[in-house]
Amino acid sequence: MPFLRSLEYVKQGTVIRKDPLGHVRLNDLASNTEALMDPALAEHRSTGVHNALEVPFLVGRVEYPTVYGLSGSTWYSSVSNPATGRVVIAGTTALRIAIGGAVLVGVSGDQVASVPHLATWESGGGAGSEVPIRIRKLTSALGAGNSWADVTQPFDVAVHTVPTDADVSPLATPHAWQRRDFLSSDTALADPQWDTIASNQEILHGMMLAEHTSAGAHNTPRISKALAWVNTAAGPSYVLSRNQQINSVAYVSTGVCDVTLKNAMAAHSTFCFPQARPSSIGEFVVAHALAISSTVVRVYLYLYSGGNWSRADRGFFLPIYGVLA
Amino acid sequence: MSYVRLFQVVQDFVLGVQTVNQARDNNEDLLSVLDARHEISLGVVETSPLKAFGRHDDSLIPRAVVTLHVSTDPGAPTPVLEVSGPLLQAEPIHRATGVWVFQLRGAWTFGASATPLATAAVDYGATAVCSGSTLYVTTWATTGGAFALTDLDFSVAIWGKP
Repeated sequence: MPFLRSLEYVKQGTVIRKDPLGHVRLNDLASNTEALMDPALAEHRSTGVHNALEVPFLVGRVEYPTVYGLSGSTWYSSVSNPATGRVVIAGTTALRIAIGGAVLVGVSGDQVASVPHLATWESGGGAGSEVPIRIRKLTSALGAGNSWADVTQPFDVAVHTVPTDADVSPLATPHAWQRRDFLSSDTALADPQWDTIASNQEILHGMMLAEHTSAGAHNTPRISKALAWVNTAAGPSYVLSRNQQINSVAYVSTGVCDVTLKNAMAAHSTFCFPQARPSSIGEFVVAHALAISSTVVRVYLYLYSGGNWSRADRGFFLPIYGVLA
Repeated sequence: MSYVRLFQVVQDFVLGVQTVNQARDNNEDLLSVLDARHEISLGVVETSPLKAFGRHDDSLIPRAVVTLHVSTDPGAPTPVLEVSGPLLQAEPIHRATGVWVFQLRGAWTFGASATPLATAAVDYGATAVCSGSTLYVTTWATTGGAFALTDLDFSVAIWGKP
């Protein structure tokens, strides 16, 4: 099985002036560089773009007709609003974003502070490279009533998919890894050998910096920047049970919780996909999240019970994508 | 230690120790960058599929992404899955109408977010809740003006650190 292996990388020491620079050292240098290609290519394209299905290709916020994120508009061709409540994201032909994918939608307009909204997506809708999304809003006020209507509201969206043509720009690069000749003791240390090492290192370096910092952290908006697992507690209050890059949570009022991030997010670059946690299986709960500042995301929680909608304190899980300030 | 772009050489160029050392340091730097958020298994043969060679081991990335299509053929609802990631133990179980149970493996701090699929203007909702190594996804729709558990297609992304 492919994962039953280790990296074929030989730790090398540094050399000093009196050490010979023979073929063994040069071969180890070259083979180490080539060994690093394997893990680098496992879940990245040759340009360094992540291509694991777990990393959404498109992440952003649609405030029709304005769009934020979605990978800098190079990976989708248009966003349209053919009918009230229905927004269609069209991918490029190369990406075929509706095929074999999974989509998360988080309704996030100001109106989520007042009433719950519901979102659905349509697999393979339209021309096969489109993701139609529909937003519904509770038209009755909180309390008794359960009437819904289509409404065009801002929403955050993450489209998990794989491209049909993995060699298309910006996924692939015309630069190719170079194979080397293996040197023996009687082979001259010819310049192509050294140039291969230098070239492969440069390709690998550029690849890693495409969506990573120089320390290896991910700096693409397509990978979440923070996660919060929040529970309810006596008081009432909210408590942070586990987190990644979350500073604190605060109880605002019934069914409203502020989540404060450790790191500020850039303007219009906070994309949330909250999931309310029912207190029992079969309870109908809805969560919405709205960035109210660069460091604070406000979560609204709604409960449907006995024919009534109300705000309610419930636990929730909150993944936050976007761009750090 | 940091990466430095190396020059290419010609036949009569003499490679000095500093340049060779920089090439070695470049490899170490690239290894360090890769090792930060990816499974490298240097000197250890990794046997866990959760830590497959080259996979991301960043808890900020979902460990699995699933779209479940409900098939009613041959009668009882059965899952038709589009799955990515090594987190699922087996096919999900249809526990009751609108209730699917996923057994997860080898990770902790599970969290999940779900969105239902629909082709028309309908009132559909989904919740995902993790309890231990079990993920429950419930889907619901309006029936006669009130919400009730209903079998629906849905997507779910599942987070957990191996």
